[in-house]
Order: sequence, then structure tokens, then C-alpha cells
Amino acid sequence: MNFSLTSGQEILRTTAREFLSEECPTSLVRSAEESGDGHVAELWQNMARLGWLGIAMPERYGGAGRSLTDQAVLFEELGRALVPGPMITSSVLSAHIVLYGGTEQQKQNLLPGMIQGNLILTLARGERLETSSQSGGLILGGESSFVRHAGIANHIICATRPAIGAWPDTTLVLVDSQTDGVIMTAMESIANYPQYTVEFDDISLSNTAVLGGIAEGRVALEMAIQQATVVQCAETIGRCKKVLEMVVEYASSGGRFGRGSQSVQHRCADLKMALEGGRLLTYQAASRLDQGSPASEAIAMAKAQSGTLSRLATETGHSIFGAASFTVEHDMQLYSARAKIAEANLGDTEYHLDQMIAG
Amino acid sequence: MNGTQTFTGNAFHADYMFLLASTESHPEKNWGVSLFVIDTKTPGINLQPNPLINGEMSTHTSFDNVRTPGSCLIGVENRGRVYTMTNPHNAISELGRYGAVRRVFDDFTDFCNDSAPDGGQPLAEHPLVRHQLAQRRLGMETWKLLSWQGVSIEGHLSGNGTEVAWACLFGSQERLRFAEMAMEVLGPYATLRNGSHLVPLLGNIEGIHRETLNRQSSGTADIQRDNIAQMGLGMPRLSY
Repeated sequence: MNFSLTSGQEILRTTAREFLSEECPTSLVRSAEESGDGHVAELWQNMARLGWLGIAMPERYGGAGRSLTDQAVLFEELGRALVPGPMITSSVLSAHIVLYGGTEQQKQNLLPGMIQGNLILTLARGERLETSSQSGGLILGGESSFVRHAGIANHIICATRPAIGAWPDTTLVLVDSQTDGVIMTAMESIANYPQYTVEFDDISLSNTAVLGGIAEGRVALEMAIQQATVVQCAETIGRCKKVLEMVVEYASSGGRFGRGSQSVQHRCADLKMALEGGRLLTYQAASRLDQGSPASEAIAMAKAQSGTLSRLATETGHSIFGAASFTVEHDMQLYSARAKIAEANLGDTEYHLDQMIAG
Repeated sequence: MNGTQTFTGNAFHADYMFLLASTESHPEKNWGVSLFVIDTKTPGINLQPNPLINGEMSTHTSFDNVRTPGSCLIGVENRGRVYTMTNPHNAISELGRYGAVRRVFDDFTDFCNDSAPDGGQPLAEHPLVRHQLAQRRLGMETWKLLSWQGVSIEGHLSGNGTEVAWACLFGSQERLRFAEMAMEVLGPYATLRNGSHLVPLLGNIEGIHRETLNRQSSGTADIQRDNIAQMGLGMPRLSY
């Protein structure tokens, strides 16, 4: 049960931290937030050049072929720097859906472009997305909310349920976001986070739009969600670690707490303990997936804890920084707003506690 | 040797005891002490029973002009604190505490799956109970991982010495959360001791309630937090 980093992971972490401290200061995070699309094209291209967009993708598609554990190390750093952009949505979740669910031709068409930073994908799912067959193809109708980064996505993967009487299970279809009949409405969100309601107005698609086969989407979707959930936990660890660093520095450097305060130190100790627990749960889940062991319960535990960890970091940060952290100018609010996005993404604490029992 | 000591664990069963004794006046408390190993039957050692609320027997031990040969000194004079602080004992103990509580938790989970006190659904089907069981299962897993990490780091003599404190602090809170949750489910039955004719789970829930009051064996929660903040996070040492 020793999750200390390998030398390769240490190098990855150091490289990432150095790069991001230069290229992703909080001023950039703020401007991405103000822009509304939550994306910085230049940073995205630089991360592509570093190989980060395909870090855990197979080498034959241009990826780096590294493990999910390595990817988690990277995402701790991305979380620490509050990196804007569709890393989890496109490079992890959508890329894994294509990898697990797509045909060989689809993988070759999509993955290299995604890894090189030229293609962005997102996922739309929900009870109200339906596909039905028509001669020579399919019709996609319905709408889905909380579609992340849809405004900058080239394609949308739709996890659709069949219309009554069609096929028995989830079908994944790939839709060009510029297609007539794709209507996007931005959902005003915390931190100006780019999420959309996307409506599909009975769009006609050819059969080649189906990722993999009809009614064969569920397994690929679930496997990709598992990967993305672990990565989301790692991102949270990094974000909360940074909050702890910030409050420790603030509380140790004189100012409001003079030569130190035991109650503040104890809050920091509690956050440190929760962080360590979260880190171990997250890397346990990652290593189980890497080894091909059953991982559902480990993932549910990691994500359930991740939500409470986020809340503790937010509460600790704002209580120690005090009134200053209630201002827009203070960086703490950047961390707490994104904590809410992370908490809600891919199932919150209550959802994953339920999953633990179900599993 | 002269003086007294309280909380000498298992002294009545022990043939020998380790003894940390002041051998030099030192400005800082806890330093200037040496480590000895001595025969518990040496004349001048007096053991008075000091029963603990978890059923264990500790002692008040007094030393009245106890004479012991110099060969009983372990290592170098005045370095006793260094030897005891670096011994890989705390993490193993924490794993032991985890194991004992985990067994009761697993028994309790089985009990909730099998028991339907009101004649309807099993306890575990009740949404509130299910939810609490999931939360405690998550807590137990976290405690396990933190304890194993502590053992691993202590075994390699790496880390900054506070890794075990994370496990001890978490564990002392988690077993209390479990005992409290079990009491919410069991109601007054959680107060019954082993041997009582209506006792569930061999009285282990009542037992854990008393055991959770044992806060001193690896430092109280507040001492653990001091250590994590000051040794682990490098925050200033405070004078109280």
C-alpha cells in the first residue's frame, strides 16, 4: 500500500508544475472565465505539444501510452493550477469513449486529431435523447443539459436511448456540432463554467455516425466514465492541495494570526489528513484500473470522498482567509467555485455512496 | 532509579520492561533521557493496579532506590527519546486498532443485512441505514489505507514522522463515528454488555464506545493535529 511516485512520475509532476506556473497563472484562469468559453487555445496547443492530451492513449494513435496512474499525477498538477479547457471532457472522457467504443476507422479518424489538439469532443447524455432508425440511417431527437464545453466542441457524442420498439440498449452517435438542427443554449453557471443545453431537432444521420454498433454503447460509456471519474478525483486532490498550501503560508506568515494560532493549525491538519485519505483512495482506484482489477467500488469510494474533501477545502480556505476571500480579487474564490463544478461532475458524494452499496 | 510512572501497559504480565528515565537535566522536556531494559522483579519496583475502562489493566509503577547494572542501558546515554520516536510501532498499533474495529464493522454490516427487528425489511434496506453503512465503509477503507501507508513509510524510515499521525487521527475519529452510528441503529441495545441476554454482536458496540475514549495511547487528537501542522506542514511551533 505504498503510493509514492516513481521517478518517471516525479519528472512528469515537476515538468508540469514548472510549465503551468509559467503558462497558466491565475490571471489566465480569470481571463478564460471572463471569455465565456472557458478555453485558451494557445495553452491547449502547448499542452498538446507536451503530449498531455493523449497521455494515456495508445501510441498507435499518437498518444504517450502511459498509465491512468501517470495521468492522475498530471491531473493533480492541472487541478492545482486550475487549468481551463476541456481536458477531462474531451481528452479523457470522450477520447476513452472513442477508444473503447469506436470502430478502428473511427479511432483513426478522431483520436490523432484530439491528441494533437485539433479536435475537441464532448458528451451529451440523458433520458431525453432518442435515436430511431429510418431508411439508410438514423434520426436523432431530444435534448441534453449540462453538456460541457459544447460551444467549442467539433463533435458531440450522444449517448442515446432507443425510441420505443427499436433496439435494446444505449447507442452512441457522433454528431458534428455545426449540423443544422443542433441548437445550443448556454447554461449560466458558477465560475462562468461552459455548460450547455443542446437540442437535436430530429437530425438525420447516416449509419456511419454510430460509434461502434447500434445498442453497443453502454460498456464503452461506462468504462470511459470510470477513467474520467478517477481523473476528476485527481484534479480535486491537486486543487485542494494548493488551497492547503495557500492557507498554511498565510497562517504562518504573521498577519492576522500573529505568531500562529492553534485552532487554525488544527484546521490545516484536518485538511491535510483528508487530503491524504483522498489521495490514497484515488490512486488505489487508478492502480486497480491499470491492473485490470475490479474497480467499481474503489472508484465510487474515491469520488464519494472527493466531494467531502472539496467542501472541507472550501470551508477551511474561506474561514482562514476571512473576509478577503469573499472578494473577487482574491484567488480563493477561483478554487471554491471550481470545487462545485468538480463535485457535481460524474456523480456527487451521495450518488457514489449509493453506487458503493449497489456494487 | 527513583520516581513514579503511570500507564505501564501489561506490567503485571511482563518479565522485563523498557524504561525511559531522565539521566541529565535538559532545558527541553523529553530530552536528556536514556532507555533501559530492566527486570520487573528488581527490588524496589512496586506495581499498583490501575484498571482502565476498556477492561485492560494498567499500573501505577514506583521505583524506590532501584539498582540496576549499567549493562541495562540500551544504546547511548541520553538518546532514549530518539530510539523510541523512530521505532516502527505506532503504525503497526494503528493497523491493529483498525483490524479490531473493522471486524466489528463487518459483523455489524452482516447484522444489518440479516436482521429485521420490525418484521419487515432488513435494517440494511432502510435508506438511512444504507447511507450510513456506505459512509462508514468509506471511512473504514480510508483508515485502512492511511494505516498501511503509515506502516510502509515507517518501515522505510522515510517521511517526516507525521504520516502515522494522519492514520491515528483519522482512526480515532472513525471508530467513534462508527460506534455512534451503530448506536443510532441499535438504540438502547447498544448499551448492553457482553453476557447480557439481549445483547447484539457480543456487546462489541458497547465495547467500542468505551474503547473510543482511549485517546492517549498514541497522543490525543489535538496532539496529533499539532504534530501534523508543525512537523508535517512546517507551521510555527506554539508555546501554550
